[in-house]
Amino acid sequence: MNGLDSVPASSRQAAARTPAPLFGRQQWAIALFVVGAGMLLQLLPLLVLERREQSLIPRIVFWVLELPTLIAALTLVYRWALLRRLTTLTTVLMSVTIAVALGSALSALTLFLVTAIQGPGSVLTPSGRPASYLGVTLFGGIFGLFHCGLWALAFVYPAAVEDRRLRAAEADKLRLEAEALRTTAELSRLRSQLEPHFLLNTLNAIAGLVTQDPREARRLLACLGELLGDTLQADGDTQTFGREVAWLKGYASILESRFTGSLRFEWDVATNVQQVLLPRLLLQPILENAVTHGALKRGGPGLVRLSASRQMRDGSPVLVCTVEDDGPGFDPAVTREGGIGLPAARRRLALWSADASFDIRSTGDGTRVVIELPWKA
Amino acid sequence: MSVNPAAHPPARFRTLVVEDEWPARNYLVELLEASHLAEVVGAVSTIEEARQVLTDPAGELRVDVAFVDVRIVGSGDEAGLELVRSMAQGPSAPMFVLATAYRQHAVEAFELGVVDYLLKPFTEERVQKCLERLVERRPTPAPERPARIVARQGKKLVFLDPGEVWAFEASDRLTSVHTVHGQFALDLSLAAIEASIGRGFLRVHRSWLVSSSYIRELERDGSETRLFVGTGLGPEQPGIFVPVARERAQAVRELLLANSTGVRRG
Repeated sequence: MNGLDSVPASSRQAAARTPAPLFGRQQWAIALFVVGAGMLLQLLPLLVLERREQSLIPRIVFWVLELPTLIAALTLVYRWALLRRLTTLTTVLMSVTIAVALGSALSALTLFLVTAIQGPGSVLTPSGRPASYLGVTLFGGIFGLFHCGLWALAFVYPAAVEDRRLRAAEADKLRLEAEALRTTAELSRLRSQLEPHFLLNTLNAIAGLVTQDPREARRLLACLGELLGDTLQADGDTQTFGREVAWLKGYASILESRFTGSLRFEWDVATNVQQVLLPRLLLQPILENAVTHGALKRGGPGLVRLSASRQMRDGSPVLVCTVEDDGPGFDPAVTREGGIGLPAARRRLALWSADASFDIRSTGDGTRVVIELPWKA
Repeated sequence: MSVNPAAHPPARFRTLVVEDEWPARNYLVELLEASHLAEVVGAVSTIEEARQVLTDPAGELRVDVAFVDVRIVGSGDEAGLELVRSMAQGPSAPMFVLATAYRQHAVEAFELGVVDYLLKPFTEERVQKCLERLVERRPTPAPERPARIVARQGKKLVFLDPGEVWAFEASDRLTSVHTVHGQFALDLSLAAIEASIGRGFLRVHRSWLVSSSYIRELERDGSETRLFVGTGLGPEQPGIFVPVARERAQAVRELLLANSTGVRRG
């Protein structure tokens, strides 16, 4: 019935969205390619330029030990950092530390293993001397750092790009959705202002009055024409209180005529509030509510009274507007009785200004809605 | 052997109008009367009054058809439907016609056995068609019955014999009926009354409709003319004074004299 209450589920989920996965199918391909290329780049100079096969064995042992361990460890840390929402700097520092530590430890392990299998002196430095544990650890740390860079390039960078793309798409979707919502709200508001049944019933009343009371029929036609013209022509979401009240008076006058003998309106609008701005036809559903759930439920002549004045709250001026009826009242907590008009009006008011207030008091003697909104002129 | 319907016009349907909006109520009454197929015996604005009229144990109104607005604002969005639902199965239930601006109740209405479904705004043709449909539904005319009309006194409904009515008075959208039993309220405009239950009454003033058989005195005081309407002559007798509009005074006087003998015209 109204577009306001149905917020699409996707926009609610947006806040809890997950980042792009590190291990999508495409990501794996990129990662394999980058890691493979990195290793080839390291191996090529050894094979082509130096031709020292025996230094190849410890290096391959080191890579077999270090690369999978490091990539797994860094990925886990990255995941954990995302979940904990750690800052970029913390994440980078942690990754680098872990890479250096793992590289050092595993290169030491490699030296130990190769020495144990092939005998002492089987691992040589590039200058041909047997490698020391200190040198190998240093070498391992540097390689750890290098592999960390490789990992970032292979896994994190594609994921980050993908994430950015998804985010942009999502933002676009949200923006479109918000626009659609605004349009729907606008349309449903226009529709509710002059809903078809109001129109049909008013036309029926005029058809009857044509013979019974031609002057009244002509007057209602003029009123209806003004309401329609205003609804069809007016643009924007804002209008002056003076125009708002003029519209409401035409609307009320039609209802008064249709419910002759059962409904009466009273207006008490201060002269200095004519120029203040408020959301267009904010008061219409409130007035309608006072009629259908208030004055006409009385079982006798009912009264709806609208008053408005400029008042001061904490040193700044506000518009105070009251709509009251003398009906049997209702429980504002039960939305069925309040209809959809009141919650929608309350929401519009809240969107209009955070300092605005909306208060409903309903007793057995009537209902009173008081609205306060900051002075905008 | 065929029966010429014109030779034996069927008895008019005795109808009750249940409608909460003043102009709509008068409009429907006017259209029903204009069809010459129905006469309005009551027009009420709430479901409670409608229920009271339809369940009146004496059954004095003998309503044939009730035209019910679906949405009676004071009673609920589907108050008319609920009335039909609760009354349609009754032993002396009238036929029901729903009248509304809302299309969505049509299916349920027909399930409840409603005879027709009138959409607002009404038109003369559509109401006529509706009544013709009702005639088809009830081929044998009901026996002639004493006609009574319904009026209101506060929250109480009263049933009046049209022959007891002295006059109808309109004052600022409130219409009252004056009788020997007192003054009661009617939820119809004077124009609608003149077209329905006040047929044959004399419009002596913009806001007065008078039964000529109860006019007892015609009094001229300078340019003002007034009537005494009631059951007897003299100040002690029950009755009311009714003003006569200046432009109608001559016509009223002539009409009264034309139907009487004794006084020389002039």
